[in-house]
Amino acid sequence: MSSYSIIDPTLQRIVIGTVLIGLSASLVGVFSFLRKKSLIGDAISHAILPGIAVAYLFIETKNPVVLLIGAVIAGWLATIVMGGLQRTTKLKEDSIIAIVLSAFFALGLVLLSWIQGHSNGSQSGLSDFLFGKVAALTNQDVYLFTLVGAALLLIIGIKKRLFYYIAFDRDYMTTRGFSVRWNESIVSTCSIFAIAIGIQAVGVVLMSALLIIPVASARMLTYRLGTLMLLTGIFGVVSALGGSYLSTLSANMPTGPWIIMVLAGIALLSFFIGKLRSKTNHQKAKLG
Amino acid sequence: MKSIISITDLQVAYQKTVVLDEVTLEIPAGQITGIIGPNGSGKTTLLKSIMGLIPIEKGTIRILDQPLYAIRKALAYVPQRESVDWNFPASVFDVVAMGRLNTQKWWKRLNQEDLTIINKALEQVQLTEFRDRQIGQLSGGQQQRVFLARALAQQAQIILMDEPFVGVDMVSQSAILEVLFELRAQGKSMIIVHHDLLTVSNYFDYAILLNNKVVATGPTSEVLQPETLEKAYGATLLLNR
Amino acid sequence: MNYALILITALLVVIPASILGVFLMQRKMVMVGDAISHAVLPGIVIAYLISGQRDSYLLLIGAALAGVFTTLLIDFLHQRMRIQQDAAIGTTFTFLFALGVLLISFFAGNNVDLDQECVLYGDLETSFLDQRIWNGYLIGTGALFKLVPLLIAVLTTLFVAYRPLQIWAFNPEFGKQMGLKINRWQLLVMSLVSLHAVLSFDSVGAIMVVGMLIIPPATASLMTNKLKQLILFSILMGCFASILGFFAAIYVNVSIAPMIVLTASVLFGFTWLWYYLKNKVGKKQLLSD
Repeated sequence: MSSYSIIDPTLQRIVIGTVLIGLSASLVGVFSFLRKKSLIGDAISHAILPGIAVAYLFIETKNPVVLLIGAVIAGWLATIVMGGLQRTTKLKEDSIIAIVLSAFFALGLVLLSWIQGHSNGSQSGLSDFLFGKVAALTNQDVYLFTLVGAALLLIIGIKKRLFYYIAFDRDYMTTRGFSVRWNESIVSTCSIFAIAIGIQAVGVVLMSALLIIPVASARMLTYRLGTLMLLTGIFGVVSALGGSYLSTLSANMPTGPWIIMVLAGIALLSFFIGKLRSKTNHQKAKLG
Repeated sequence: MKSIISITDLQVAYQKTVVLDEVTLEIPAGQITGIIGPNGSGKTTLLKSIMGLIPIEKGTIRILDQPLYAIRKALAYVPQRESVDWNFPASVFDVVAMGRLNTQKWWKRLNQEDLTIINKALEQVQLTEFRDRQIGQLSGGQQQRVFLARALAQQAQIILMDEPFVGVDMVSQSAILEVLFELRAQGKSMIIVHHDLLTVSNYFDYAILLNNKVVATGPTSEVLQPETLEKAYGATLLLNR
Repeated sequence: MNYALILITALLVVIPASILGVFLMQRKMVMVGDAISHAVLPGIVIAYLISGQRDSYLLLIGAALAGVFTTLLIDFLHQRMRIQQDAAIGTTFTFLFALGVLLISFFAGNNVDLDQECVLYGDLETSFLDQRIWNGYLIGTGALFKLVPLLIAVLTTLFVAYRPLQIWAFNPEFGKQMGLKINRWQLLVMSLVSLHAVLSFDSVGAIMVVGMLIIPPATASLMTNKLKQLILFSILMGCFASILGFFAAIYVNVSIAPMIVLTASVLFGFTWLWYYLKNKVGKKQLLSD
């Protein structure tokens, strides 16, 4: 399992798949980070599990498109419920996130348990979604990722300034006549799609790491949007590739945790580099 | 008195409390108007209603005799400083550049004219040397000036500011005031929610005293009478000039 | 399958969670609680690897330390590295949980006791097998021996420290002015949360720990806002969900722990509906006055 030649189609598939996942998840994560809604991504990731389980129940094989639809619907439902709770109750945001996270995830685990009890071997692919398994990616998956990934990157590329400004000063943008709610729902939808394709690599439980850690690390190194996005994208890709590679070193390893380890290393490095730079800047300022 | 904003029977409620109760008033053109009153009297709510940021139960607001959506370009909003996270990854330039956003064609990049306007705004508030500084590294007063510069970059007729002098050092306060007086000289109108009674007569020409209802409106000297203040604040206040 | 033992185990997990969760919810530290429940995993695994058994005091200490370590790490990321709080929480728990999962999969080959998926939904179904016999009498299971002291600890803390806890949760500013050492109480509650996470982990897994920390208290908060009632209703909701969920899981033949959480969520849903309708009617009356 650990020797791949460079033109091996399996390897190509894994590389392309992980690059797309790493890139789209981390870049979408920039905007949830900016809006300080990073943990909502966590709720959505967990909420996707029942969506996938239901999709599995319907078709019994791993059809990427159906799974994506199931995931997105579940993600949307979770978002709607969170919004509803926000509007109709006095529950605070962290409580709402935790409720939706636990409730949907519990439903997912119940369905998973039911499928495992009542079905045959076809469901074994389902538990790959818990912690991620990049080796399970098929060509169909990669085609789908390319489509979705390209669409996400396009939307983000075009609208990044608007999303950025809205994250900074929502009220001001409203007074300028921008439809803030519409733009925010675009960001949410992009998050849902990025998470839906990302869980194949990182898994449901750890997905939020790929949304949060790249941009958090990059933020320690810069405050300009352009550089922030560039660094974030790089970190996302490097961790996805690195983590996937590391997970192939030993049989039957889930990919997700390895990606997180790489991310942790990147975060640590960014911290030290960031501290170093601010120290030298400080010294420069003192001398200058 | 020529008025730029006419408010009739404005009613705003938040959950079960009435914040603005049948408010009817006119805001004059070409003057610096202060909205004053005790905490919770609806000052910020009034400003936000004009800017369309909160839903209203009933009443009408006409700006230059038009509804908000038709006349947005004429208004520039300066929110409270604390409404924004200053650790946000942005430079002073980035924030002021928001003032040059084109609502219709939002994808347009900044052109030469935009850059000139931004730089001029930065000059006006004396923040040119801080152009590329991250906004969290500024003092409170400087941050307030960044917001003002953004409003200036919009080149709007009417500027609405929410408590712009809170926690602002003397240097910034006078810098801001200088700009406001300059704008007034150019015929622009400023509407400012203010927290400090003692400075009202120095800053404002016209005052609106609120206590969830309109207590008094008029030239500052008229409004700052003990009787009217007592109606709003419920206590006898002595203001030494 | 010994229904009684399993049910009691579930209740012993749920009751302390319902109590602790009320305070977490009030202090907006629910996601920190979530982080702790995930973060104890590496601590548990390491302690298990060192001691070779599932229930050792080393486990307790090591993993509880992991819980405290989590809050410290989050604080460090937030204050020293200047990362915003939500990102600090997310970074911490994913990293620690990933570490735990990796450790498990490294050593899973040697042992059947730890299993990647098991950490998510636990093993209530077989917990009754670990029986403790004394003089020929069945006096409990391994799980019970861990959880009963926990419940006692939580209840004792609640009774003894009710006033300071109440101030900490509802009025920390006032408490600070009064000279109350706020941090001490926060530490105490977080330690109890860690302890709870550690002791419940192998019975019910991470998901149920988190779920029962927030769902019963949230349900209760829709019904009242007085602390004593909150705690009481929270416990009642938790127990109700446990019993209903337990039997539902048996009937449908699915894993018990997630079913309990699901039941709690359904109960929450109904309560939410009731709350929403109640407010709508109330608002109509207000406007028509």
